[in-house]
Amino acid sequence: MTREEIRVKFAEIVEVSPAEVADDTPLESLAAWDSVAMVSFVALADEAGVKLQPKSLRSCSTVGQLFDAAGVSA
Amino acid sequence: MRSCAAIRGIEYHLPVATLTTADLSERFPDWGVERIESRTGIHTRHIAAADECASDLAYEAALKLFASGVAGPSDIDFLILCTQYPDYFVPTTACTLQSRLGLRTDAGAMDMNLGTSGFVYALGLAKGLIETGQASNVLVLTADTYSKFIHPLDRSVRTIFGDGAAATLVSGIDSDQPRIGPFVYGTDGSGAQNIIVKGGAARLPRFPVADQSVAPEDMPERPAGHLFMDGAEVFAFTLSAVPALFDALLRKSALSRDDIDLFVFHQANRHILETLRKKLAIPADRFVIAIGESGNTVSSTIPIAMKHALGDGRIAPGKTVALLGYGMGLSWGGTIVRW
Repeated sequence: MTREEIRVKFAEIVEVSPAEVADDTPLESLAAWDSVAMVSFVALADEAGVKLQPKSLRSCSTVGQLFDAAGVSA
Repeated sequence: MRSCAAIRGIEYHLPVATLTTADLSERFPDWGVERIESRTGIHTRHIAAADECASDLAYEAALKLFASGVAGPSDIDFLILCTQYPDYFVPTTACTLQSRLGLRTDAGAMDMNLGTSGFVYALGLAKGLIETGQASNVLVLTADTYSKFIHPLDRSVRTIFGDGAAATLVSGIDSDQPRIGPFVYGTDGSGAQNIIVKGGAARLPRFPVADQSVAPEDMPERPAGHLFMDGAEVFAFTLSAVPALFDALLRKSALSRDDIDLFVFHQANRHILETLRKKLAIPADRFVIAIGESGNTVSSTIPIAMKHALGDGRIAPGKTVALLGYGMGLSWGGTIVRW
């Protein structure tokens, strides 16, 4: 999965348009980034063949850090 | 030809009161309950009354099983109750049910404490009892009332769990091939903290009563008397444990995916089920999702889903069915049932 593909799918999860999601977007600014979205993101990473440790997501503060945690290179 | 354990009947009982997505949405407009339902597929949860225990639900399910005519109370020579919310610490709840159900006094009765993997384990015990000549008709009761553990403002679990019970009759029948088994089990207690009610038993007998007007996620510490679930951790566990369980079960039973007519997984929620189904390349028409009307009823989801599949003909004589349970413990187990 490319960075662009994961960005589009992530935007779907947090219910915004892909244009509203950039690497430096703070997760805090996304109203729908919650426990439900986190579960969806774990599923998305799994689809990309990455076994995510949910603990590693909690230390992320931006969208870019989240994608890094999912092993999708910039 | 020898006596093989086989499932001969399944019935279930749900408490009368319900909590629907519409109810939750009206009470908690900011929870995004509709969005949650679009993921979980759960629109109704049944909730036990204040004075209604898991054993009461189990009792009703057992009466239904007897009313179906597959067996009467005097046929049962062993009772297994799988619950995580017994009536008492002492005595065993199954013993009280022996008396209430009018089972024979020469019947064995015992509780077993497991969550969503429990039904598979109970079948394993029942098979062992029957095929070693210790019992002929085992009544397996699964029952839980998780709603009583749930903080009213905990969105993450209130939307998922419902109360319920199932009664399954496992009997010895003459058969030239096994009707239940083989079994694959697994445990990883290092994940115990991911789904837990910390307070109330020996490790933490006393704890402060939680403020019922503050959501647990906004408290400095999770309230010990209530159910806590780390959804993302549990989901990640499921994605790694269940595919391994699935592979091990196929290997041990020497079956391929296509030899299995129907897959009945623990009904955690639709999102988990659909993710697993796709990951394991199981066709949708051979995979049961029966969660909308009852939610996650813990150890009863598999028998409830099987009952649905019996109703629509997907389980019928000659069919081979795979059962997979997984969850709190962390604990998992799988088996093959031939109808």
